[in-house]
Amino acid sequence: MNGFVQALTWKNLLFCILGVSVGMFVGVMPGLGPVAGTAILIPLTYGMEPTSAIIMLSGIYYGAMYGGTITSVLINIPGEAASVITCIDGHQLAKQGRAGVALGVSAIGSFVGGIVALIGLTFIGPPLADFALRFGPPEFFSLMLLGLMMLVGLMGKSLIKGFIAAIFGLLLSFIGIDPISGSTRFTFGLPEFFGGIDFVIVAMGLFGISEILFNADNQHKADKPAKVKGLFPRKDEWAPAMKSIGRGTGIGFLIGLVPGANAVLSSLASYSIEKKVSKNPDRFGNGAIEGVAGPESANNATSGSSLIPLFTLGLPSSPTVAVILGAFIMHGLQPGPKMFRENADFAWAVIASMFIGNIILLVMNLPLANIWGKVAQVPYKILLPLIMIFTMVGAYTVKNSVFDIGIMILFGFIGYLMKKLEIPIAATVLTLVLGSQLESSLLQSLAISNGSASIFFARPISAVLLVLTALILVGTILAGVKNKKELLGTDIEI
Amino acid sequence: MRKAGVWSSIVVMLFSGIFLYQSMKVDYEGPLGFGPGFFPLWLSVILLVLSIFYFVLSLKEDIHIRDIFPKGRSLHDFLFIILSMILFVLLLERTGFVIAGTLSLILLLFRTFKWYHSIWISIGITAVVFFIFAKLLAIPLPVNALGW
Repeated sequence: MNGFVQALTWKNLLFCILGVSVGMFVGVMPGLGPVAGTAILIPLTYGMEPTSAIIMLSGIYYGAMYGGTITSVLINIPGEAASVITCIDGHQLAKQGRAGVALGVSAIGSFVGGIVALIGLTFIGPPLADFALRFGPPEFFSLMLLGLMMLVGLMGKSLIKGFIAAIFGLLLSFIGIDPISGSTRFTFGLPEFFGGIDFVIVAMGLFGISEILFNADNQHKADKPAKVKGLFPRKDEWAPAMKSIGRGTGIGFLIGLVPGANAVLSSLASYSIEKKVSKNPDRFGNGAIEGVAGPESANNATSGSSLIPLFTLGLPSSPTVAVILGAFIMHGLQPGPKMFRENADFAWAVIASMFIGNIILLVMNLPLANIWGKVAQVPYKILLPLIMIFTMVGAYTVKNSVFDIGIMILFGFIGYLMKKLEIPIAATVLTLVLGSQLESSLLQSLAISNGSASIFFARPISAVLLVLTALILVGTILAGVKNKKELLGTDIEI
Repeated sequence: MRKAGVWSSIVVMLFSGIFLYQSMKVDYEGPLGFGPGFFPLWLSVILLVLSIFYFVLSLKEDIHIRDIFPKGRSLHDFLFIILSMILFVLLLERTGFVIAGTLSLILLLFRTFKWYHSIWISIGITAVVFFIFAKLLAIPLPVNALGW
């Protein structure tokens, strides 16, 4: 309850509204996804209190999930990748003059999915964090390794490219002064590197600038948006829609807990399940309400439940969550098992703000759908200079350094090449954030055991986590998940 | 060799080689056990091995260098985006934010809009961003002798 008291202060409420509105905008605009949006806007939060900053950034994250739906339905262009599936039946419904129904059902589904995930975070979070308090350095090392393995195994088309991306991020995280020994590493004589390469700069480059460069080659042309009338489905459609929302929420919630399994995967899984359980699967693709209700609930449930590993274990499960983790660290907060004890006020205020944010989005989404549809038609050539100058000023504000803008441009180019070469950017960003923790937990574990790696197998929790890691590695190699991986191209990182 | 993966695997190889060499210059062992060179050294070795696998696999891949960069007008857009960002970096501390921002945006926009439109759009956007960051958020952006 104290969380709600804090979240409802006028300042935090304002940042929540601002966050979800920017999130809606980011979600609505094709070519600007939640991860790029969050990365670009992090510098804006520098002067803010940590609670307000995280409330705003989380608002952008889940707000984008709502926003992406509107353009999928109205103009058949997914504003963000998780809404690709919604185009299939959502736009068909719009063509039949039922755009309002598609948006109404997806708003209800998004709300249910988001709220259920938050209830999960509220009730699963503290006991899971308590359990994780038993973890020592070996358990944390094994847990991070498991998380990274799941991520690399699921993301991108090639395991080798995934590992290359992950190690690239790890090596970058070692640049600067080593926190344990105090010696400098990999600075190449440049004093600007002594403090390390800032995570925000790399994220802005890899996600923001690379997106700008990528869009130079892939500009979207928007159709005229369909008119929105009548927001609720017919009487006979309520029952199937609600069942789909229930199934989508369950699937999305579970998938969100797995590192690397993003909201795209959950909406895809939900759509295929809806099609399988349907008595008349031929309706799918021609405006089936379940084809909108299920995936939309699933992607919002995923975005909510993916915060559970972050809040309880300090593990980001997707690139946007990694960017939010970077913001936590930037504001002097360390998410993980101790957060619910040491920063309880902060944790509950952020969670409470997400409940409030979801309600704001539900209210804001439907009456303003027509306006958002028009916003999506703003030509990219108008948006480009704004995004570009905003990004460069943002990079400068991190350390008031022009050198950082240069580094961001360099990483923007690297990110562009990685996208084209199908090397998953997300793996680089996640390991860059986790690199120093991974190294310190490894070195601490080895110091405890006098240099013997047996410590990782001698402790039961760590051993189980390592066995799981090995199983996933072997499974990914053996299963030859080539066909499944085709669906998870590197460009759909959420 | 026109396969893009081959070239990128060579870049990865060089990168891992540089980090491997640099890791050897840092202490492998410290007073409490392993030192700051231990983890990076092994990761560089693993990356080097992976880059060799990548090289071999990319011989079969069908991503060609010509598929990497856009073509025609899109290529010009791509290059002008990069050039205008570089111009901004070069000018920022010399001319102050407003001139650097305006000139780099003009360079970005003059091919898309009529020249006079590109000038007022660039001035307008830069002024608004300057007002938000420098005045409202009190962020010390580089300025010239005139204060902008």
